[in-house]
Amino acid sequence: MMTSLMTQARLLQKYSKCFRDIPQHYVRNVTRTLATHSTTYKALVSKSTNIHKNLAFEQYLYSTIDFHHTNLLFLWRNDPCVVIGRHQNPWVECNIGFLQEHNIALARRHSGGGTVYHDNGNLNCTFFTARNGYNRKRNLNLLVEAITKSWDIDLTVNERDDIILDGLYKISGTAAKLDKTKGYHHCTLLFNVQADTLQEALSATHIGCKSKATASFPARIANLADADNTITYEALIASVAEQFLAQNRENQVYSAEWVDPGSIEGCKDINKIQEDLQKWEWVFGKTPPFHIHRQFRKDFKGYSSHVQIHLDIKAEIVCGLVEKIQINMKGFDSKNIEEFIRVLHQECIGLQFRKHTLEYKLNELLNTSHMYDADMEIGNWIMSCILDNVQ
Amino acid sequence: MASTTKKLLEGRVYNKYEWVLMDEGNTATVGISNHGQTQLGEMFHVELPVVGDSVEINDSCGSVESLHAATDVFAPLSGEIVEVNTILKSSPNLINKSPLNHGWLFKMKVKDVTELGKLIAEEQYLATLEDF
Repeated sequence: MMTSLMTQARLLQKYSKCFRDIPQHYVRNVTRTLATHSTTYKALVSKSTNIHKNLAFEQYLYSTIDFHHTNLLFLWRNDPCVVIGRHQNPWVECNIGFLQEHNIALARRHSGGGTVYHDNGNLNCTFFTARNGYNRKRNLNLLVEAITKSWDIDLTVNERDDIILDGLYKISGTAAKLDKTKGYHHCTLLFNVQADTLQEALSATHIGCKSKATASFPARIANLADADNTITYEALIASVAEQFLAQNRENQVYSAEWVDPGSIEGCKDINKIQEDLQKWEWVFGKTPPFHIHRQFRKDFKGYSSHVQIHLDIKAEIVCGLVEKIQINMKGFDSKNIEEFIRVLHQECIGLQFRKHTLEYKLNELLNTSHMYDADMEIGNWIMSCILDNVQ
Repeated sequence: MASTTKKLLEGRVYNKYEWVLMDEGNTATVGISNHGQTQLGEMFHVELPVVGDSVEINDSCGSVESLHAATDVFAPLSGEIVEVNTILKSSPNLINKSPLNHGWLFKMKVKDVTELGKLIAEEQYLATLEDF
């Protein structure tokens, strides 16, 4: 009877000959095919665990390779990060404050679909093909077959193109990008992700936001390792690569290639794409327009009479910038506060909807407002209510 | 409505995934073909080009996000964008429900009508769909 350690060792030994290190000029040669008309299947595994570097490399592969006779599988994993879809709203989809506190990166990809959390317990698979070779179900069935061939677990593909474990738990999400002559389908595979961190990272306060951004579908998730703890990263990529490369004709023997996108030919172009992906204007600025409406109430004691103040805040955010902000206050008459609010309406227009930008501006407005005591206390409270939306 | 629909269905020309309908005044209406919207699935989000922009043939001008993919829309002809179908911002699935009619994407002033020669007539397009 095999122990789990023996099973792992057996699998690793079987598959270790699947992999070899990639020479620097590999990417240029990747379209060279042995047969002129049949499709050649090739696989690359990234040595990088940086989400922006890997997304940039994925983009680079997509734009530079001709897929008419080549189907390429790209395998990659990342340090902890959250990845939102092309038309999603990060303020709604994730807890931006939590991400910043825990050094979890935030990225926006070019494909559509929903928000996902990655860490080293998640494997990403990108299937590149010609446009007429694009077939998500075929790719997902290949993954299911690769996994169930080596491990005795219950995996199915549902109508939303999710891979489901035991009929209940989502262990894979899918997205795609299509162009005139080519396309790619990429998906996640949760094999041993930190579920608690995932939950916290993806639980945003949805208070008061209305937008036309693509919404994620929340789902119960699980890890493949919950079903069989011999499912490790090395064993998983070996199974998947072998299944994919087996589609080659018998006289074509290919191994999956390890590649460091930071040092291959073309790395300058990859770095440029990476820089663009990391810009605020891309990550936050590409958010479809959205509208915030929130109301606050607070009792202020210590004056001659008890005061209850109602605050109504409305804001329009377009391209991640404040297009309009409107604050209405009831319950306390103060010319100074009215003036502060009037100036605020003007001065916030065009600012990035981000905490330190708005905090800096609001502090500046408070310091130049000539408000004291009770007015200043209320002014600070108004600032905290505004920043409560921003994370 | 019936006669307007009949008029719209006459005279379309196609590239693989888009249709073009010319009027007498050199303005082309562009949309996604029925085959295109079927392949992409239910539309969630549409980004339209900007009125006033000049585009060359095959330039990316807008994008759609659907159940199956995010896809760029490519200009089937060169010219200037003169009108966009703003209803799609709130009802992107018009592209699925009425791809050849209410789901049109944008209108453009065509720069070079000879480019129409690169597109194929509807009858021929429908006959070749099996090849796609």
